[in-house]
Amino acid sequence: MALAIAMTISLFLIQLTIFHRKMRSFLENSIVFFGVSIFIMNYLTIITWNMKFISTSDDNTLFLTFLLHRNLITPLIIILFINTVSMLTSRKAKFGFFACTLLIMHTFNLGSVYLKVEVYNEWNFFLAIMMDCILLLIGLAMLKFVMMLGRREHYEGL
Amino acid sequence: MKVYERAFDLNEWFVILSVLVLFFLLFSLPKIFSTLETIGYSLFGLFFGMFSDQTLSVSAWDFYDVNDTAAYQGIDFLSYVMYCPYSYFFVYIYVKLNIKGFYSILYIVIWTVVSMVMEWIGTKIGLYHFDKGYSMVWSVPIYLLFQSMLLTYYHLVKAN
Repeated sequence: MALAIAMTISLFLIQLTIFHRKMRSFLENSIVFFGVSIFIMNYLTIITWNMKFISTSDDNTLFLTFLLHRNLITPLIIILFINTVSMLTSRKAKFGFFACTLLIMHTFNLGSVYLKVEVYNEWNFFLAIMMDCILLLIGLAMLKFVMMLGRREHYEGL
Repeated sequence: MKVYERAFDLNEWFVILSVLVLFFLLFSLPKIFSTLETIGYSLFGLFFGMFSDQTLSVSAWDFYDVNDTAAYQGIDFLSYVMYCPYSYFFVYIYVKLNIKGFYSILYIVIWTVVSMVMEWIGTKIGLYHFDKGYSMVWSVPIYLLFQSMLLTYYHLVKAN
């Protein structure tokens, strides 16, 4: 059941990302996607297989669910978040959307644990929320960096 | 946890020298892409190298290990960084040679052969340790898929 749910959510998120009005170009979004994914893979590999804070299942379908969560669901949520935040003007709305996105990401963490995709050994939901916060901030920081590079190149080209 | 060796030897030097030489080449070649494109094509290699290794080389599958131990080490990360210039050169040469149509297939096949040779060298010097019946044959479709995706990515970047 976990894999079916993860596949459904992944496909839904892919469609949402394709049709969502994007404030940044495909190249800028893809750089943020790659950067965030690389960070997620690194930290998850370290806390899961090196430090054993989290255990993943040996069951193939549950492992595929873990992969979808790691490499598709979380990075796509961050892409949707940064594109939506770029459109919002008021600080209140930005904080509100940040909180909503964090809630959605936490729901997926809860789902992962409930469906036995991940088992928290020395990890907990507070640390998971903290990591989600860091991921969203990394996404925003990467977007700013990419925009700055793009602007600088534009002015150098003039 | 499996430990294959503890010495700082050929596999570590291969990774370090490859990173230095390949990045030197990357920065010394005439620039044909914008900085953002260069970052995009380089990150593509890092992302897919890391994705395939941190998917196939961890439990539940654990088909191979990278470098001296089964644990994730700093040198492992550096060996993924090695993929950055590879993916950049893949697109760079593709653009420089103005490859189009069916020649793209031949180009992907040539790069797959080059990648296989590099992987073979990697297995000989202790960079990769295969397990559970995994062999280099399985890397062929993976290289073909990722290189095709890289060309698609290049065309998407150009179109958008």
